[in-house]
Amino acid sequence: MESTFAPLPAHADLPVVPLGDAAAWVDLHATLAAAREASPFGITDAGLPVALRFAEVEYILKSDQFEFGDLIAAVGQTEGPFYDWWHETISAFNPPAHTRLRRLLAAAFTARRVNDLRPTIRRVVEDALEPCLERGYMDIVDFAHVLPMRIMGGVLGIPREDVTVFDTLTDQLASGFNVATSKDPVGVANVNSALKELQEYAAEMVRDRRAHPKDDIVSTLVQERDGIDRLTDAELVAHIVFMIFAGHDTTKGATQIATMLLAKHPDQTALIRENPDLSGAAVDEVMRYESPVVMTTRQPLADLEIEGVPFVQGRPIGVVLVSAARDPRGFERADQFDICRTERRAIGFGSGIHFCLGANLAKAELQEAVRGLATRTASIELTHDVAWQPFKTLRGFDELRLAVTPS
Amino acid sequence: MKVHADRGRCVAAGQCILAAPEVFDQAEEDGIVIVRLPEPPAEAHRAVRDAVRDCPVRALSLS
Repeated sequence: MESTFAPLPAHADLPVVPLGDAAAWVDLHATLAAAREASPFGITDAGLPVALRFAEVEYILKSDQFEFGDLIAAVGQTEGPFYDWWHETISAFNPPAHTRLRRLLAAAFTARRVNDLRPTIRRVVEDALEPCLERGYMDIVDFAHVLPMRIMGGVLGIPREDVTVFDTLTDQLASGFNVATSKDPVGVANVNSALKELQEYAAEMVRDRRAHPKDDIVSTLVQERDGIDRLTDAELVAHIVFMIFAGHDTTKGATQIATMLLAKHPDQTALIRENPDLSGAAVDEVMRYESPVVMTTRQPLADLEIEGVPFVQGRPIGVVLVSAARDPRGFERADQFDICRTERRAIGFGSGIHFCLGANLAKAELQEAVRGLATRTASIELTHDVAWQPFKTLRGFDELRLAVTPS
Repeated sequence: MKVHADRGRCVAAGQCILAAPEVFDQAEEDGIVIVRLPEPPAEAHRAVRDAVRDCPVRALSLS
């Protein structure tokens, strides 16, 4: 998470979290723990103040004195199609406008709707697993790449042949959240052209599903509901693009991480093999132990202080989920991967009113992946050391191969 | 145990339904919480406490 804002003098004494240094990412937990043990708040070497402990992270996420961080302003953009799009999406709104959008969008992600999608999800998992079991090995990156795109494609109703195009466009759109891209006119033009293509595709989907409803999320969202407010066409387009974007790298990272953790902890995988119903608890623990999202951001609605540290209206604060999840003040045996833990778990989906809208869908995807991986194999083993990608606030690996034996 | 839900605060995250599906439900049209069993049986109490804890916006309370 980057920011072009100048640091406050009052933050000069906070412990530095050197996220601009590749070495800090080799063992991110050790880097974060060093700062977390010194203070509830740190400051990145790019000048972004960050909340590190469970209590402060929870407080900020659940507080109504904060709004979602303006990610576009933080990378130095204050106008243009990309800026406009982001500010049409639910993340950019506060109640009551947020409440209205949340309820209209949530209809597509209820536990019941997600359950209806399970057969589709299970089929995609089976299809992705089959060739790996035949070959005897799995490239995590390929597996985790194919899975969310096909599932997202399946639940949004994107035809299989268009999924690869979407993948490229979404990567291009996501690059807009980097300072380097937003300072480069060519980068900005690429982001805006990807956005335009995605918006045109989304608009076409809205027209099509209105005329020919299918069993997908877009159809649910466009459906006329008597006596109830509904999303305008502009809101539908903005949020379809938003869902494609928000369900992309996050789920990819989470799938990579879940698969890696199963290989690294055969004792835990054996528990799931014996009792596949543990896959839900396993996913909650994956999302706590190695959240794919390093941090989210919030900004105060007015100047305020927490634990004596001042924060300024409209200036983003990084809320470090990966650190809060390993805070010994928040979790017993915080550094142990234990799918049977009974205290509070998943923190990777955030908290407060901006709690991940797609959490239930993501959980279902991950549960089916974990269940498939555990039950269809006799063993899953890492064939080399795990190397996390540096500098990625959406975590994952460049490559990771596993040996798999079918059950 | 009595379960209270503040439907005005609820953001339809659906985490209570995952924790205690026999006690909570979501409205079809907007995903907002519905308490199916306002006085849940003793065997559901632990799951209900999990649901209260897991609610991202503290929309659930017990008395």
